[in-house]
Amino acid sequence: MNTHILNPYSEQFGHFAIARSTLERQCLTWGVLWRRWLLRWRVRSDAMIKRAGDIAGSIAFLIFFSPLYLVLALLVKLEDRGPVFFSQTRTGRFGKKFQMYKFRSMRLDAEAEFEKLLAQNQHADGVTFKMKNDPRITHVGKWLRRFSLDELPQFVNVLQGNMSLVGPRPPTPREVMRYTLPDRRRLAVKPGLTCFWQVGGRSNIDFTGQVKLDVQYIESAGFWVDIKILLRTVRAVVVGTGAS
Amino acid sequence: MNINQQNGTLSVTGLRELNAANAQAFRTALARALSQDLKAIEIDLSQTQAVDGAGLGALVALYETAKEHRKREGFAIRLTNPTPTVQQMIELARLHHLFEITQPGSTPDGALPPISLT
Amino acid sequence: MKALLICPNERTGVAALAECVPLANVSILGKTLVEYWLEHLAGLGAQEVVVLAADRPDEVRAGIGDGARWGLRVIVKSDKRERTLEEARTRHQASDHTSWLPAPNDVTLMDNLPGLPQLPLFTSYADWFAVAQALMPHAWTPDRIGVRELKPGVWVGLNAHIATGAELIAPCWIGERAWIEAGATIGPSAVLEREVFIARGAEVSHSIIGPETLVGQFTEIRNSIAWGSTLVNWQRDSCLKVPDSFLLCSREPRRARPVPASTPAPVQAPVSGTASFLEYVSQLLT
Repeated sequence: MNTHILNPYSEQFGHFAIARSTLERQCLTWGVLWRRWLLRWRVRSDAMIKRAGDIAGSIAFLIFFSPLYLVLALLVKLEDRGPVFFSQTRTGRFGKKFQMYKFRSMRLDAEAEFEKLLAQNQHADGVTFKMKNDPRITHVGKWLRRFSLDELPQFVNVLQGNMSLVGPRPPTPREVMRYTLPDRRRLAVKPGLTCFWQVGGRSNIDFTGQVKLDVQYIESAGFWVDIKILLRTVRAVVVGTGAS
Repeated sequence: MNINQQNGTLSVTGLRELNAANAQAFRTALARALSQDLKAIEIDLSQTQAVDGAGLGALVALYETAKEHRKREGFAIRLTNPTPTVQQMIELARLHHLFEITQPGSTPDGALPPISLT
Repeated sequence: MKALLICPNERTGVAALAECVPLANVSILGKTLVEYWLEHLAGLGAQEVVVLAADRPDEVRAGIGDGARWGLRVIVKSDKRERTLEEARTRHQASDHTSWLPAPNDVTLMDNLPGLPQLPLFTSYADWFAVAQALMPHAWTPDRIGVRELKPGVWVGLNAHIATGAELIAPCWIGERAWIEAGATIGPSAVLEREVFIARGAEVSHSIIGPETLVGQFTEIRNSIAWGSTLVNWQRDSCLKVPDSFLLCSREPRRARPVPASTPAPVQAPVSGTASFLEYVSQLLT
């Protein structure tokens, strides 16, 4: 074990932990500055690139699809003259609450009906809520949801910085209150418009399955993973599977 | 800094510090003091309060300069009574493999006996 | 339900490390001390936690945020000095009629980790290391993200980069986003906190490397705690500030510890008038 340690000090190698001359010492110190810069970049770059991508993507989408937004807004307004947008409090990264925007797809008295319907919850473990043929949905709303068009205003949330293009779906504070500590791992990243389990079998997986897939996403998160998920989302939305 | 030679042992005492300020002076003084019939070099670090990379570099330069002497049987470069912080610096830079570190009484933990390079 | 946490202020046993970072914010295997306690209190059912910090409350606050991460409401209050349990109880509980957690969980002095009351953290550096050692096999709890066990006894965190030539000897713990170059040996009983950089040929054993620390090439860290450029040998209780950055340094420039209140009070901005303005300027210059 000892002999190989001495190689750094041998005359032929000249690799020293400590420098013999002022010039070597200066070079080593510059090396440290460079190393510091590299490490700082490595730690911060992922977040910076993701944010840049989010901003670019959401601006592009909003500009390109603004006619669609106008048409949908008109449709919602014309159905029952109620507000076009619907904002809901959701829980974002590290538990911070924010307002999430959607096109209104429920009747104006929807909240009152909510309690009555809790009993018919399709999701067995009671943390998330989903129901087939929810009677509170408007006709326009049903059609919007079929193609996920009610989620479109969330691009504004992405621009604001509360959400990202790719990430776990943002839970409601009501759901988060019932999270155990391991479930809270979901909150370690910004929520996104799309995610692993959404693309797979949207809303059909129960809660523990969702958490597992979210953690899988966080552990494997990276630029190319996000691109793959985005492409798969586009395909899934166009085909219109599992959105009911 | 005082350099004496007695009975084949070169001893350096009175070093207040061994850093960028006097590393060069240390190195040249010792290079000049090295003579052919040396059996050991002893550097007393009991009064050395501050050691930095430059100082350690000077010690390694001494190690290299004494290359011919090292070939001789039983030759050793000893650093005696380093203060705890200086001991930490020496161990950080792994110099305790090159030099013998002697303390009165206890042997420093983790110090391995020096290995003579041929 | 409410609870109170008291941050340790001055501990002579670990003075050198207390200078680098407020003791409530020390990272132990990836999580800070106050985070362990907040998780513990959230698990006991607390909804609101008051944290009393006499030492650098801003840093403690920056580390915790508002507590939404654990579903708690956390308020960090700065205090003039560290209160004892009884003092804290009388000051904060007497006037507050909301329900508190049952004793002894209502007021806690954070001198140890929640699961390990028999192992004090801050009595000496050796004790600190002993706590990290004891926690290592149990640190991989279900709420951690990205920890994997490369081989029995070697735990590696999220996004850590370990070069193929590096050697990892169990038991060791490597934090998130650490970078270990080829030829490095992370020896037995080594704890590397997050974002640590170990250069080529370095050897770390029986030691803790604090967060964001750069360990230079061909150095050897044994029986020590390295936090930025502060190197403490826990076996011999000696502390050293390494002067050369290429041996040991922090990735971020060191923030100086704020001066304690015994020094002259900060300059007060004047209300009006040219004369008082000139006085203000002259005060700044002295």
